[in-house]
Amino acid sequence: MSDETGSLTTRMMHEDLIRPVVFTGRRFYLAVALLGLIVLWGLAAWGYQVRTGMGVAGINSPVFWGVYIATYIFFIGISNAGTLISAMLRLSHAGWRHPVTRCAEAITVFALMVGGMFPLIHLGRVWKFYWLIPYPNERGLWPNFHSPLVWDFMAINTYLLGSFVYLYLPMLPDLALIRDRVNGWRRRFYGLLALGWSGTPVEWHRLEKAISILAVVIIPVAISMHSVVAWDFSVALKPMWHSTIFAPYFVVGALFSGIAILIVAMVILRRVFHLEAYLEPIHFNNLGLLLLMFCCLWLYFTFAEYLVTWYGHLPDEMAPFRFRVEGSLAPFFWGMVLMNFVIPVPILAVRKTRTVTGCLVASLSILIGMWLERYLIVVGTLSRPRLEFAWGHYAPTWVEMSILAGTIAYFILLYVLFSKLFPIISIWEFKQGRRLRERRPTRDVPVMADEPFPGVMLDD
Amino acid sequence: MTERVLGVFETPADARRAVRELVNAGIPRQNIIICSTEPMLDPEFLPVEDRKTRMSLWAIVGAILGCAIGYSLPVTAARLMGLASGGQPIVSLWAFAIVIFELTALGAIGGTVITFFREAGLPERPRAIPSAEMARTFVDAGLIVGVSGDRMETIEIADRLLREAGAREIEHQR
Repeated sequence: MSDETGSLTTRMMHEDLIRPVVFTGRRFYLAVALLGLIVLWGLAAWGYQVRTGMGVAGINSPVFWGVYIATYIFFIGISNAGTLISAMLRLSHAGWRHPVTRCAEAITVFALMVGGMFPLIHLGRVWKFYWLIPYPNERGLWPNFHSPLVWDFMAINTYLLGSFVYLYLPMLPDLALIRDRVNGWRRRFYGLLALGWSGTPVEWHRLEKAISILAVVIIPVAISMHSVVAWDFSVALKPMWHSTIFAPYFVVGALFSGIAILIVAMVILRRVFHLEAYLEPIHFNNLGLLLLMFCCLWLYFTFAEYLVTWYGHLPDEMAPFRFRVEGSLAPFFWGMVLMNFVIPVPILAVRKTRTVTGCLVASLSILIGMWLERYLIVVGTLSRPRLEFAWGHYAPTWVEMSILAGTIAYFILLYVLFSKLFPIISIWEFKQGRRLRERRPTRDVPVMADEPFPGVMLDD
Repeated sequence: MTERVLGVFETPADARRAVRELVNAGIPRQNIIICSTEPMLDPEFLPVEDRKTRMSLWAIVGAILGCAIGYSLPVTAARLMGLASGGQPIVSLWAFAIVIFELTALGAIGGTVITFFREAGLPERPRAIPSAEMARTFVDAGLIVGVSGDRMETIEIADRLLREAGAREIEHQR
């Protein structure tokens, strides 16, 4: 097992992947301090909102949902990345998945944690949040199970719990490995988290079985979660919300932005932790191709959504349509098209530009574009209700923008802390992937310039 | 007093040979300890009888239980409270389907996780606890094969067989 395979020995692999857990550089403290400050600023703004009231936010009649709900959909969307992508790659036995899965699964858990905060922030009276929990409150009232808000509560919590388990179980062998390599408090800490994992064949067998079952269960849960978020809108009978394709449209958008954030996270981790030997150009190439496919799917769904509205030309529907395409939201709309399609497609379609940097640029563009899309969906319709006299405008205030900045920083901070405390690449899965590749016969395939395993099948 | 002898192996082939030799020497399978840092599920390491698992069954049982709760929770709540539904049916399966689905999935996840912990015997003290120095050798080498037993004779035989099979390091524990 410690045989040399290529230039990477098992010992080197352990040192590379456990080093970030054991050694802490100055840059880590700087990053934590900076992110912590932004989080504190966001918390202060939230505290101000709680103390003063929701009037400090820009939301008002008729736009009762603003940046908070747009960002909520955005975060719930990117949370689809991890577990869903990881589960799909696992079930399809994609051979290149091994270094990607944990990066992706961690995104899910933290994006859900942060996204789930937005309904509470939007609630105003945050201390009443427990009324969403399905149990009779002090007046004997149950939450209304017909309400999409209760569906949200159920879907998000099921996905969060499932994703947490799906992240934690495959981490057990790596936690045990760290336990056996370190001393002092770290040995006790990782020993506690490893739950006594020894790596017996029975443990491995049951772990692989559990992961397979969870992968099957988690895919419909992930799809249902973002569908439920879409139904929050489409069951509301509002123009340009009341659409039957909203759920698949949201799921496609979620996967789209999810892959984008996964690529961004991988590029940063690769650079910061010097993981070039693990997160190789082939991984970015494959994810870039996946992203390209979702660019096209996203455009298809967006076009279908807008075409049908335009062709029907119903006055109620045309008001938000024109407001988005020609009105004051037009820069957001065309910015969204630019960011989600015009910029990323040429970068991702050409082999020469589908590099690590190219994928990063395309992904950042898509993340901005997808946030704009969520904003357009929320604000575009609410600003133009059916009755013309009720039309209004919305502009976010400094409080909303501060909370937005604080929550984004919080998400990054959680991810930074996670990658500091735990190996961000699944060590045992990486080794397993390498072993499987060694066993595979080669075939005659065109070799790409930066292909790490020339001639080796990429799917096991 | 129970004594254990643990040997660290670098290749699965050597470890396989060690297990085969131990079994041929008459050491009961339940006394043979095998640990690895990545899945090693060859028949020598995991006999067919140890592969039987009821995890899928309990996932289905959990799903059925979750489905039952997912159905009865909203239906009971709606009926007990007499929710104002604007003339629409008070029990609406269309609206409750999402709650039912989510709790079904939650039940399946719960069933899987509980069965995993039960069948894997976790949480527990690690089965093989090598010294800190040997643990480091183990994680880099990848495999431990060992024997636990009450008889000194068995331990001595195991020690010899492990060495012959190519163990990189041997450790005795009481």
